Amino acid sequence: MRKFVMFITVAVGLMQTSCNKKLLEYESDDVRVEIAEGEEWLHDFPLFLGIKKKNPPQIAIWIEDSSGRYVSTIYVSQKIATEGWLSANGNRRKEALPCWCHSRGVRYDDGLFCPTKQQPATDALTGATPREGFSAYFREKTGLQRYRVMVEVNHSTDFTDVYAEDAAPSSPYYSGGKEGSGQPALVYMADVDLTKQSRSFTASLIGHSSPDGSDGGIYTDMEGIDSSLRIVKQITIRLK
Amino acid sequence: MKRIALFTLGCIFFQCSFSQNFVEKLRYQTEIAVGFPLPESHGTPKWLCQKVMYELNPRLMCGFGAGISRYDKTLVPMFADLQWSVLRSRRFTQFVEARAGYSFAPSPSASGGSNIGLGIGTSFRLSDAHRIYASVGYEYQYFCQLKTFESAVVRSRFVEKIGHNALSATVGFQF
Repeated sequence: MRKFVMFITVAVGLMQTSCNKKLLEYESDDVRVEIAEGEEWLHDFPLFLGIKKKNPPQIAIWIEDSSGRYVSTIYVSQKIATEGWLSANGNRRKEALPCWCHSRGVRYDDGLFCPTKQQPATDALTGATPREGFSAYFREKTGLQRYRVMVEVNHSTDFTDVYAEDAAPSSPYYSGGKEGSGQPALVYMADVDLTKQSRSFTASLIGHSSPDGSDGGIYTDMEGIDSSLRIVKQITIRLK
Repeated sequence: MKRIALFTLGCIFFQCSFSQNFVEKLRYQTEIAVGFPLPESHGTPKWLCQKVMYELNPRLMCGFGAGISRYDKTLVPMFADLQWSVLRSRRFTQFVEARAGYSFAPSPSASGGSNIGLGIGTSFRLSDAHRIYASVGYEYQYFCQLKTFESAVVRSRFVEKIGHNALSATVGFQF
C-alpha cells in the first residue's frame, strides 16, 4: 500500500510542474505576420495505393529592403529548409519556393539554391507548417524604416489543365513532373513604412514564381492558376 | 452497544479484507522505450514510465502511469493504460496494450498535449510476482513549442505545433 501512496504522490507532484500555457507574448517593437488560411490551405498529397494525405503548404516569409535586396528570412517551412520531402524520389523540389531560394542566394554543391539534408538552412527560423493559419513574430534590428515583407506559398502536386503533370520539360508550364509543384508558388508582398502612422499593412499578390524553379523571378501572367489563389485568405502585417 | 461493536468489527474486517484483496491485485511496472519516427516526424523520442496496474481478472489489467519523455522538449506524460493477455498466464504471455493521456511540459517554451499508444508484446515470468516484458507499437504525441531564431539582423519567433508519430520498442519490469 505504501508503494501505491508514494506513486500517487509522485504523479500528482509531476502534474503540478506544468500546465497548458501561452508560449508567445506580443512584445513592444514586435512585428506580427498573420497568415489567415484559405479554403485550399490543406491539399491532398498522394502517398501510395491511392491513399492521400492532407498537407499544409510550404511557406517562406522574409524581408527585403525598400530596393528589393534580401535582408533576412523570418520563417520557412521545415521540409524545404531540411530537404525533408516525402515521396520525392530524389527530386530536390527546386520549384517549391524558388523566389525565396534565389532571394536568399545560397548556392549549393549541385548548383541549386534549395537547402539540402546535409546543409539545411540554419540562418532562419524553421518549423512544421501549422495545419491552420498562424502568426510569426519578428523584430528587425538594423533600424530599417521601410522594408518589404515577402511571403511565398506553394502546394506540391496541385496540377491543373495548364500546369499539367505530364507537361514536357521544355514547356513554360512544366513544374517538376509527377512529384512536382503543379501550380507555381505565389508571392505576396507588403510595403511596411514605419514613418507612417499606420500600424497594419495588408500584403497583396504580386505574381507567381518560376514554375520549374529555374530562376527567382516573379511572373504576373496568372493563366492556369486557380486553387492556389485560395491557399491563403489574407496576410496582414501588424506593428505593436 | 453490542450491535455497534459488532458493526464496527464487521466494517474493520471488510476494510481489511478488501484492502488486502486490492493490494494483492496491484502490479507495478517500470519501463523504458525508444521511438523510431515515422515520415514527417523527426528526432528519436525516449520514455521512462512507472505504471500501477490493477488486475481486473487474470487476463485484463487497467491502471495509470506517469513518467518522463524526451522529444525536442522534455514532457511529463500521465496516462491511463489497459493491458489484455491474449492467452492465459504462462511462462511467456502475449499481451496487447492501449494507453491514452496527456503530457505536461515543464519547460516555459513548450506546452503539452495528448498522447496515445498501442502495442503488442510478450512478458516472461521470473517468479510469481515478477515479470519482464518487451513490446512494440505505435506512439503519438502532440505538443507545441516556441521556436526562436536570432541573428545580428533579426529576431523571429513562432509557435510550432507538432503531432509526433513513432513506432516504439519498450522493455519493462513488473513487480
